[in-house]
Amino acid sequence: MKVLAQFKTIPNYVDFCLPELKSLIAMHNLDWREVFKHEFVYEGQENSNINNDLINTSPYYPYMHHQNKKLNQKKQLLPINASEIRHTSFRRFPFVYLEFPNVEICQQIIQRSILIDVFIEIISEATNYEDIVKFADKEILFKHNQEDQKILFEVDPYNSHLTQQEIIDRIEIITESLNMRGKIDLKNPQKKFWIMERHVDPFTKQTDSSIINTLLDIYFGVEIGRSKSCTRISQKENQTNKYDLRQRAYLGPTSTDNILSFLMCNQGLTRSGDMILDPFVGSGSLIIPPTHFGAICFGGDLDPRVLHGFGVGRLNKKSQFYQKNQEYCQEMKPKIMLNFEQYELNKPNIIRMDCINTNLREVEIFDAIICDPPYGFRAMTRTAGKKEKKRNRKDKQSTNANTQEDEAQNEEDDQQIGSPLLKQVEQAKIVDEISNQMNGLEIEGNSTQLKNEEEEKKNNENGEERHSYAPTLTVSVDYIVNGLVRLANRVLAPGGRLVFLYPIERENYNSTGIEKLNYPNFTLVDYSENPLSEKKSRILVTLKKDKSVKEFLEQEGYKNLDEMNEQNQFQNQTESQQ
Amino acid sequence: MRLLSHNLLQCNVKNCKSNNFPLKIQVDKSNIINCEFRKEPLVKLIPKLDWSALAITVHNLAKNKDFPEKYNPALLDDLKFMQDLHRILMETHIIEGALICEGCNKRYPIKNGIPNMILNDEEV
Repeated sequence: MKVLAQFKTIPNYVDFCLPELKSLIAMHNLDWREVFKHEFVYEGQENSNINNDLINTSPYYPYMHHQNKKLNQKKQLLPINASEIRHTSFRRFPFVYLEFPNVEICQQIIQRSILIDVFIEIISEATNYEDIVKFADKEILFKHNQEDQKILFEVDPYNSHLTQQEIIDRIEIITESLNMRGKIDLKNPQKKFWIMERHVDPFTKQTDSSIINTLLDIYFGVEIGRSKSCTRISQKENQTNKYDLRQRAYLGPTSTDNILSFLMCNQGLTRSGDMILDPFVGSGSLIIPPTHFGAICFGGDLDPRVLHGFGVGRLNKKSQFYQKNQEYCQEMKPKIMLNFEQYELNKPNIIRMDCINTNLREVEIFDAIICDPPYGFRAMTRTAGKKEKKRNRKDKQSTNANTQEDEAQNEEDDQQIGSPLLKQVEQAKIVDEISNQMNGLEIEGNSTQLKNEEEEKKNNENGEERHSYAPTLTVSVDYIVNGLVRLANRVLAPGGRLVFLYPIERENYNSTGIEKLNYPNFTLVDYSENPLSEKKSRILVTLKKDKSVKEFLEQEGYKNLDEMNEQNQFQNQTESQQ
Repeated sequence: MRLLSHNLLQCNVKNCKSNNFPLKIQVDKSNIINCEFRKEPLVKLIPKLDWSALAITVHNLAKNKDFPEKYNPALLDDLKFMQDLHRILMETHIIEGALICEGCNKRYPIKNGIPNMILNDEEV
């Protein structure tokens, strides 16, 4: 069946619409090429009195939704080249024609989707209302047009505005000429009919003002499904609003917002019963949506502060949950579980570990790895390790310096931390802070005192400082992504997805920047840009693991994973030296 | 920490290559947190687990010799067994205690239900 999908026009997530839809299609084991077999609305259609260039020059059509006129003034919403090319057909109009085998799949997809608002079965499409009536599909109309039904009309003019009277006129034309006999009921309609008009984009650089408000085409159809996070449903019913950060009881320094975390969950094809890993879990934002959908979630983090709830993690005193259960929130340990208590979700499995030098044994058990690694833009990137590693990092910096991105990143790092000497001082401070805090924790728990004494003895014997925690080091973007891929090779199931955010400088970014992310045994599935500011942006990268490691190693002639990693590192280094 | 996590963790100390899995568990405080029993996720999970490691751990902790030492697909149809397994894997949480490597005696403390797998400077 042919279905029209209407996307949401959230400016920062426009680039995510099609990748999300593709993931949802993949979740139902359909081939997205089959689903996208209809031409996009407007592709190949010519309108004689409009200069096509005018429409083409409008960047990112959905940004220019009639309700979001303010957006035009914000500079950061300007598109970047790569996505422009990829979404060239889509940007003109947030509608896409899709082909689905049946209504049930449509409904399952729309229920899960964050960025599709509604699915509409089209009764007719034309350039004027006479033709809408003339070419209406009688079969579909008959199916939905019954006398005793309560119906509702939604009229949606793109790039224009209609007065109340104009809306009523349009509804009357259709109801009278098509003999629609249902009773209009605004509160509890059984069928919702849509009339959508597309007008010329008023924000294009046109010279001729007369074409503004020119009606291009009209779509008339019946709704077959509405997203649970649809903009048109009430706040209470809205699924994504339930997880809004403003109402979340416990927050980390860089908690991912609810829309992005749901999108990442969909990119990871999370189904009920799946095993999901977030190696940089923080306050757990990214494993809340998978848990919501019934997945078994694992979270690892190097930094104990957010997990246990001291230092950088904070209770959100404005949230209703905190205000109702203040004492409980204060006493709850570890604090990361508070969010799962709040949403009445199953508890995740939290482990304090290093993602790069992982303790997970080599078994390909996880269906997806979903994470937002700390790159140093907002929170510093660290790994546990000896001081020598620092030298390695510097080597890396110099060898990777050929790419502009890395240069920018290095500058960023240097600006943040200053000279190498300062870096060491900074590090020592952090380690002290952590160890002090940890000691504080230990003293609080009576049951662990005996053990602490033992530990202390042990440490004293070794002639060490009191804390038994390795110093942490700051590292570069590529180091962390390489580590992530290594981890994925080790624990991700074949066909499983690795979903992560990758920071970029918008000036230097182009599509090849992401497509060069070429890792052995991984295929790039999709990437979408999420602009953070005028200059900075992050890309949601989705990689798919091709084969099981064993199969891959045999094919490539490596003995084990370590050997492959070493050789690849060597290759990368020689390449960048050249 | 659930026994499910325990089944995935191994000792990571440099040069500790043998007898580093499964880690021995020392329990100071444990807790049962109920969660909904669903068969499908368990059925998906069981073939991926290291069954002998799970059996050893259950024998040590619960002193319960009934737990089968070898995995057998017929167990999947035994509802009573599946419910027991759900309790063992998903509902039992170790709140305080430690994981101990039998190969190198490294001790990983568990605090507030979170095992700390970070190594010392010289162990990396």
